[in-house]
Amino acid sequence: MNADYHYYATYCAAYMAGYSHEESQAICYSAQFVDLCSKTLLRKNKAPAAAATTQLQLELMDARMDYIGLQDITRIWTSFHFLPENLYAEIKGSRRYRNKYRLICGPNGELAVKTVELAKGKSLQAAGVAMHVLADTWAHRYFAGTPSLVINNTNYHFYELLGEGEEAETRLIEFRHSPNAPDDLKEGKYTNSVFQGSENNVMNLGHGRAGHLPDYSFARYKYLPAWGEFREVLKDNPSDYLHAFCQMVQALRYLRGVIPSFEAGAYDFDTVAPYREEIEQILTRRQLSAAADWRALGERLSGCAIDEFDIDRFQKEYMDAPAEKKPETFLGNFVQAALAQKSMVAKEIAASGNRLAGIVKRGESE
Amino acid sequence: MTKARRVGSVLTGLIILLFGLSFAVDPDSVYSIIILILGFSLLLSGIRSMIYYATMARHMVGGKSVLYRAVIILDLGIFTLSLNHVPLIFVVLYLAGIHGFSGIIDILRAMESKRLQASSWKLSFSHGVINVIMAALCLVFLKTVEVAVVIYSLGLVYSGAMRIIQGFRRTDAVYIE
Repeated sequence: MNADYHYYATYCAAYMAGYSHEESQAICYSAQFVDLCSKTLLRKNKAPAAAATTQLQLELMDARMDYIGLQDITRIWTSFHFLPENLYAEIKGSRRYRNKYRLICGPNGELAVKTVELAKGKSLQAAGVAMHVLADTWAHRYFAGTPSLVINNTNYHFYELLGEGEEAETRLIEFRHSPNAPDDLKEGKYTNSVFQGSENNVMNLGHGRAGHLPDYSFARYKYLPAWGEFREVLKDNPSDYLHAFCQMVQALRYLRGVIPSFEAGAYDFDTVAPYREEIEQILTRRQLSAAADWRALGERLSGCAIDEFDIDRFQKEYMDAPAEKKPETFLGNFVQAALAQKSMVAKEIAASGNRLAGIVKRGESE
Repeated sequence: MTKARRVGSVLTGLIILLFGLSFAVDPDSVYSIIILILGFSLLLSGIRSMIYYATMARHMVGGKSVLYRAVIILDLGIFTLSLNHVPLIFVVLYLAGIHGFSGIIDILRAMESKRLQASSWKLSFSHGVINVIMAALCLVFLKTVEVAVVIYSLGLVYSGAMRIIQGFRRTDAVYIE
């Protein structure tokens, strides 16, 4: 998902869930900040690098690719962008294959519920981090947050569906490897990562082989995932993104204390109902960014102007704060939320007998 | 490319360069070492690919290509090791053949990269062309083994230099959000 959804759509979800304009801004800022909080940024601010929620291109290119390096990459990407759906999924194959298979991302898993529950009673920043993770379980489903050719690869069988129902036209997607060229939505030409035959090559991390298609709300496509045993998968982003939105509203209402529990598969369609048609229009509009549309909806909902996202906004406050006061700053709260989420996910993965995200010392998983 | 891979690429380049120069100076004593190193590298790579196929890639869509690659590399490795007591002329012929084949693969990959608008196609293309030219020249001068050895040595020096250059090249990646 891109900034349009993580920032502006999350603002809309938070406001619909009953948060004030200011609170909604804090939540959506934190949700978007997950895509930007790298080790480089944290080190610049003298914050703990272990709280990194993403890796920059250069960090990835220079990342260690030994077992420890892979665990570091896996901890970050599974915790915040590719939350595993089922850590105990049954699949034939070697243990090594099974461990990678079990990291495939998907919505409504046990970890998704635990992510939301972890943010309960915590800061608005924690709510924002949880909303990022929750939304990405829908956008990034079928891919894993660990470098893996056998899980994340795709092949030439990749079609975009244009139109609805029986009238839908099928068009073969043309992928290219030019990172600086914008995707051509009209001609159906998209940028993806280059095929790399090495299992643990960083190019085989996440949905790189499917380009940015999972990040576009309008995209509907079918393809053969590497792990799918030649079964075609249909990815219906407009539907997935709508479910993500309604699930965020449900989760945020739980975090506010409006409803007593958050359960997998529960969506607040009722609260969203008055705006559903407009949201569906935004989600299905073919455009590289839906930021303007979501922003307009958000500002109409609250009657307040939504601030432009500014990555530097809270960094000075953190830098200037004395050591004992840093945890109380905006960035300090975000760091704590990120550390808690990463720790929870890494421990759950380790507790499942899977060492791809690290090893937990005896007693640490309790 | 990771730092470790960059260092690895530069070191491999230096070793190839060294072997290229040594081969030109004293082909009789160096060729058996080259054959041994090449043979064992191919053998190990083939075994690793076999294990990878058996434990992981057999479940993958298109995973059979990993098996085919493993079998070919393994066969090449075994064949290379069996060349240890063969006259130099056949060894040069075989090595030139391997370079010619990898050159053709490089050219095909470069053409695909160009079609997909990747920026890296020119280097790969030139590498492939040089390899093919070197293999062709070795065949042309096969009757004069000394000339063929010099041509092959120059090819090794070029390959080594390319590896070193690749170690310093900037690499692009598609960023995931």
